[in-house]
Amino acid sequence: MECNKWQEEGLLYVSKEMNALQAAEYGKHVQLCDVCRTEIDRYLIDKNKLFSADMLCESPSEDIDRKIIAACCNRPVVSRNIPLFSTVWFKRAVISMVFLVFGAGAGIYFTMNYYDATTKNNALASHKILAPTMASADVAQGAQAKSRDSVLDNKKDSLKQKENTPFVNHHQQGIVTVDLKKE
Amino acid sequence: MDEFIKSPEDQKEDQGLFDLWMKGDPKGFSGLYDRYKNRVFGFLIRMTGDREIAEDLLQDTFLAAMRNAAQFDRERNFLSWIFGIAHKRTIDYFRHVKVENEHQADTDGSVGKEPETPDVHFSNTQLRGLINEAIKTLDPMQREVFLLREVGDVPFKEIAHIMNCPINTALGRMRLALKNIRKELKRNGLYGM
Repeated sequence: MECNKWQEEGLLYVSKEMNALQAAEYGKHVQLCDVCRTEIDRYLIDKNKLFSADMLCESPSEDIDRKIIAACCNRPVVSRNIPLFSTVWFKRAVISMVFLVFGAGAGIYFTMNYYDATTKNNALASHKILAPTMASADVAQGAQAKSRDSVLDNKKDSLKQKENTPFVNHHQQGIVTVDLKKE
Repeated sequence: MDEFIKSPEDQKEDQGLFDLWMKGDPKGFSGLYDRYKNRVFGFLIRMTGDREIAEDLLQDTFLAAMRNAAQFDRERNFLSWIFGIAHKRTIDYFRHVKVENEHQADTDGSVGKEPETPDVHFSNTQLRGLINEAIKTLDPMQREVFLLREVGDVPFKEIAHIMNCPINTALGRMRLALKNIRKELKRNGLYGM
């Protein structure tokens, strides 16, 4: 019989890798669960008897000890004169700065494009809205011009008519006047 | 032989030795080396199954540690860090010589040994031999998790980080490793003594 709690949490509990709350919760469970209690006891016995330092550790030869110590102690230790360039945090900072700069650049670029696009769209949209009114204005202007032309044409016609029949008119007028004088 | 103790005092002592090492004091390195060489060597010898190769890898591990000492994150446990390097050296070794299949074959060969009687009294040396045999029968992944945890005292969270797997996978491998070791020890008449 197996307990899911042992499978998921038992080894973390035994290794003291749980936070206080989780450990307390699992501790309560262990008091009630025979499977978990047995597994924990068995593991601790094995760890003390079979998986101890005496059982699992091995000593390298003295020759290799000497070689390693000589190699690592005699060689110059990694310089820390410029710790800023050698630390992990510096690398992380540089990488994050690069991302920040590229991100900001990309953000500005896209924002500008968006702004341009929206202004263009707005301009187009306003043009579309104004277009009919402009057209009507044109029509009105055309009509006015037409009416002006027609008035001028009429005047011209009348003048032409007058020019073509000046004698008759004068004569007629004269007749009239004559007639009136006679009266 | 060093004891398996992990306490804040130990960690502080490690930090002190590490600082000495970084300042160029030979006592710093030799202190750290004396403290952890047996654990790292125990891990390497069980991973490779060969004393000479394990000694070479031990040398590589500490040289790599020296080269990358500036990259050591001080919030991290020194032992976890050195075991992380030992793990990488072992992987490199297996990649280089492509002996994983041979390894598996060796493992298969060791399973069919004659079981010993349960009431035999085992000396420490015999016990060590039996445990070694039981560890050899493990799948390489299970073996590595087991050794990192039991020899290196590396927390499961760190093991997952070192082996680049989820923590539940590491826990699962450890459970299987324990199960298989017990099974093998039982076959040899050791378990339940």
